[in-house]
Amino acid sequence: MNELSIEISEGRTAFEGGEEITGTARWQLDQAPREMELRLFWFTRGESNQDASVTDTCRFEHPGAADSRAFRVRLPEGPCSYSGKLFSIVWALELVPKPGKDAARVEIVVGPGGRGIQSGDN
Amino acid sequence: MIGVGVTYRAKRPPGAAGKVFLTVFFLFFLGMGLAFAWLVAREAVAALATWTWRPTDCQILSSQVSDTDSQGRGKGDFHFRVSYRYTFEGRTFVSDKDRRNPGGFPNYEDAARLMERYPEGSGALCYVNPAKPEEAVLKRGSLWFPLFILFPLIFVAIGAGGIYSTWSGRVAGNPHTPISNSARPFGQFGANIFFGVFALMGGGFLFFFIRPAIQSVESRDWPAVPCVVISSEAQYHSGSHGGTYSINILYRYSVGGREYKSNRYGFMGGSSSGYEGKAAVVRQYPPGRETVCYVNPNQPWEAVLNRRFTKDMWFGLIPLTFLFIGCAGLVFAFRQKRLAAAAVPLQPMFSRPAAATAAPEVGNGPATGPKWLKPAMGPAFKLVGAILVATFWNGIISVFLIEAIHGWRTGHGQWFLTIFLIPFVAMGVFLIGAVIYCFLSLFNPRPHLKIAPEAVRAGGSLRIDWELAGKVERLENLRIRLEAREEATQGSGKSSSTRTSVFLNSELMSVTSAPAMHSGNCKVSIPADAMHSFTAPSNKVIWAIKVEGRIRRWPDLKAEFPLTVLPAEHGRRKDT
Repeated sequence: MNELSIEISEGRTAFEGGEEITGTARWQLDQAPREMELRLFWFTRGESNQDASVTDTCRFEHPGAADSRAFRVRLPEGPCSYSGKLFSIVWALELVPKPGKDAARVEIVVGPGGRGIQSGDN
Repeated sequence: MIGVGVTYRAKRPPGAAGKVFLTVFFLFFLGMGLAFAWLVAREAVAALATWTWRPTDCQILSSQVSDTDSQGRGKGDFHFRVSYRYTFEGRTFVSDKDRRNPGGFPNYEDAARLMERYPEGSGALCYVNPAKPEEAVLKRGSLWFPLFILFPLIFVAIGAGGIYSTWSGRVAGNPHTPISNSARPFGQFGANIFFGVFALMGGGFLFFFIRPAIQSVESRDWPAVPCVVISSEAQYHSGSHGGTYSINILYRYSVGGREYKSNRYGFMGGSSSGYEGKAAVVRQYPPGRETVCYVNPNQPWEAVLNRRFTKDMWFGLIPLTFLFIGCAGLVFAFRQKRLAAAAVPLQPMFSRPAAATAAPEVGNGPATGPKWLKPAMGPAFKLVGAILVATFWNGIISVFLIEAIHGWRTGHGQWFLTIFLIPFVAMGVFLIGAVIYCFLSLFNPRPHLKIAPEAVRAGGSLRIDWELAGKVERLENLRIRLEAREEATQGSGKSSSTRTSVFLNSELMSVTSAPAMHSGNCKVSIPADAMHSFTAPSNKVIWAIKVEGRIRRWPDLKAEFPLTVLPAEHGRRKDT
């Protein structure tokens, strides 16, 4: 049974644009992956086609089958986390082994004051 | 450090019935693709194998053009009938195959060209199958033919990829599948393939229309030679969707004391459904009629009766449109890739003036401007777009419409075709109306907007100065609005649909007196907690200033000026 997890320092889930995110990635796999990568990315959620963009990555060299590594990635200025009527913008960290289909994902909120934007706010 | 848990997001996977349906659907693609690929591969291997056959001297025993094949069957085509003798490893053989699969030619001169190349009594080089020495050809297989396998392989890729996605979780929505994988340029790659094939197909078909046009120009230097019509008919070609007709006039002429034959009427060959037009041409050339043909002085077996441009050459505009759409699609796909890479405007959409590098003010954008805004789509651009769409649509519809009208005029009206065409013709009329509407809009007053600063942060404010050029007195009123909306596109290609949701609509000013319409200014504040501009390929948040004016008995003034709203200043967000 493969297990992957992401721990963000101080258990934070809310950030402002431009901030640095640090934490630890852990995994226990049946066999050592060729590559292990932590990705910081946003994606859209809704009934429309999904857009997504990886903004930063942290690649772990020579990963073991059971391992844990510290990571450090930086958020860009935007886009802000957004919850609209037609689509939402969601930020997340994802731990992805290669080869493999499993991934660990942690969703975070990015925006002014560490809050996302709701379309009904204004 | 504190663990925050592991979360997954899953698309709703299709049920067992859905998976079976998808599998059957993709199996059809896979099966058709594999079957076609197998046929092409088999032919390609056989064609390539002839390049391993041994070149051997041979003697042409007989060489002629016949209207029947080696079995004595005639289907209206012309056949190059050849017989040659060769000696291989001490044994003598006679073959009648010029190619692996000899077939007929609709044009006499294609067969005549081979006859010229392999005249009776001459020596030539044939290629002998060393494993089967009784098998030989004069012409080896085409080295281009194996490339045709790419076409069925597209279907194989769609089918295999679809089945893999259905069961592997990419479509089925394995909850552990990384979402960030979708940020890979699969879509870009697919779009490039799709539009690339579109452009290639358009370019390929365009060649078949451009070539006759070039030949028509080149033939202006060909000398006129007396010729005699041997036979003439509007030749019928049966097909799965009804028969087609072609002009088939066989004539003979002499060059340098030698007699030649040709059946080419014009440079645009092929067949089409209309009979009367071809029959009318054929009636002008009854058997025995003495007339004039034009002969290529360098290749006297090449001749034509009508060397002018013909109406059917205009069909070349159709593949030209495909080529245009393919190229435009490639440019669009490239632009989409750039959009995905820079979805958030962290800079104003315009270049920042060199002097405006001071520290950004709270609530305002980093650039001070002012800047003249450009409309999202100018009236001339709209008109050109409407003309292109209307021409494309009506150009295609007109082919069928002419056919339907011709049918009714000749007493062979087709009810099904006529009723089927009604909605398409209605759409064509609507598009013509749109062209007229866009043309009239050209004469509307033109708004010009200047903003300062040139980009604003959420929570900031900006000043808008407007001017109206043209006959402002025709306007009954003028409104300027600030609008923010979401746009979300679902699906792709023809089946795509875009939904819009306006989340901010604020009237900035409204006037009815002509003097007040000429120019003015107003100030607008962007809510601090509003979403900034966002432009991804399928999802957008668009901010725009809209200028609207009502004109009596005329298209109204409608113009939209996109605006860049930057993310709010971090750490200084105003609480609401």
